[in-house]
Amino acid sequence: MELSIERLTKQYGNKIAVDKLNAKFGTGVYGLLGANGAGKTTLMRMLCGILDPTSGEIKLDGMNNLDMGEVFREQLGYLPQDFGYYPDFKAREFMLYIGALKGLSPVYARERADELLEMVGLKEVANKKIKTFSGGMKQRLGIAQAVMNDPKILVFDEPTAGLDPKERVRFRNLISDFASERMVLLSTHIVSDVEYIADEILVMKNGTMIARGTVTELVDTISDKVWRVITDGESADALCREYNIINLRHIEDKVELRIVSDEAPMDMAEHVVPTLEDLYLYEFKEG
Amino acid sequence: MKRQEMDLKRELECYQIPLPDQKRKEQCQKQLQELKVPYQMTDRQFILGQLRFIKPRTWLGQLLVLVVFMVMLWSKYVDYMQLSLLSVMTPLFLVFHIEELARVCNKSMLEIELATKHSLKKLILSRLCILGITDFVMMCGWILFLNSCLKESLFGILLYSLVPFNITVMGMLYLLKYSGKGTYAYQALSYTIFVCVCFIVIPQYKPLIYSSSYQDIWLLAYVVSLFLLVKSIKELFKNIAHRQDLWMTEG
Repeated sequence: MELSIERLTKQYGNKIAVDKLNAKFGTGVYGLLGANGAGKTTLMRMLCGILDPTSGEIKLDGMNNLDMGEVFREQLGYLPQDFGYYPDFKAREFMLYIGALKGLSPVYARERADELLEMVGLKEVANKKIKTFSGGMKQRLGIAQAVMNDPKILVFDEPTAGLDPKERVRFRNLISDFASERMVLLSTHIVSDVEYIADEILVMKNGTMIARGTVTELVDTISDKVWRVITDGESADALCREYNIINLRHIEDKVELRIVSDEAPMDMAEHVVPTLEDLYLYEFKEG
Repeated sequence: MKRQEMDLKRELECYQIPLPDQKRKEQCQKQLQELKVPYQMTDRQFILGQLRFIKPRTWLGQLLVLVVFMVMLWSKYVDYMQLSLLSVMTPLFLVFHIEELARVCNKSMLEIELATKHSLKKLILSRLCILGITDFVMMCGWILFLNSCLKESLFGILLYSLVPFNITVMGMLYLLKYSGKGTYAYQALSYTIFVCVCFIVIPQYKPLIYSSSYQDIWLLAYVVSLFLLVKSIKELFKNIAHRQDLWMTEG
């Protein structure tokens, strides 16, 4: 299975949200990293056939996704950024509704709904209204509805927004569980969401793809750009004004700075091992 | 070598391809069907399946309106007022559909619905079909009741009930095309109340509109409202693709 994006463009009036994007995806987890407004959500919506591109195409095994229609959507699981639900729906009822929309027979949908609600830890509250759920519970229900039809392509748009760290870890583990033998596209601006589970990371900025590779490959591109400096408060202030500071820590009367910069910020600066977060902040320093 | 090739060619030409075993073919097709059936539903199952997701309070509300109006008509008002009640009943009867129709404007849910196998058009059409069929059944019961308890002709009863019905549905669908998230229910409710008020106020000034001399006008109103209703359904579906793009862009 191969999903290819060919010169994909989406324009809203004068604003280009996605600009002549090219990419290919196979099975595996792909993390789409980018600041707010980078074009991630627009790309995800076009991938799901919710938005029509202004130009360009998305093809699954050589066939256009919009031309495939139902056949394409049958293989799709989608969790949007603002996971919506009808307020009066109970969790199980909601799952059955999604099952019906995904074309699953009622008997199979019931079995699958129970199985998935148990998997995401919502079996006990299956007959409670969704509006009473916490953010984390809603997101878990969101994952369950996305995989209801056992899709080959899973698209998650900013799935961990608003979750506490514990829920975020739980969410990551759930995605990893569902990811085997599937194509998972996960968009986020939270680096740790994709750092550990993504096979490949794509960095988007202003509607274009500016970097792509494994975590190691991407991090290697800035291996000589991350510095550690220990200095006094006055110099630290000057460095903060001039450079992109990743981290600042006070150690007694000194200040330890982690800086990402093309050149050494000062003579005493020493190289440190970069992380994906460093790369993100390096690429999005202006934002 | 050439001779060998020639012999082989001759033999191949003579070879008779065995016919496929029809029984095994049918058995295989049956097995495939059995494998497929438990997981997938047909279009008919999909449409009927939507029935489960329409709230019981929609049907109960409609039944309540019917019963209340039946009681009111039973208690013998003056003739024109009785007939005016027929025209007021249908818009009120439709009020309970507003919540179901408003779901179409639920943008956050829409995003999931658009990414599922069955298209949004099919989903809306299914809901409209279910609501329309149940309305038809309930209205038939209502009209039969009226026919037995009122002196008015069946033709008149149909016109006085169906004209406001068409006008209300037409307005609700029209609003569905242009309403934004969260505002549809209020707009549709206001519109329905307006239609009801019109059919209460107009007969106060023109009691004769329910007389047989006005039936030609009622018939014309019916034909025009039916035409506009069909047009508004067509436009709604034409408009969905555009609205879809707009809804998604708004976010």
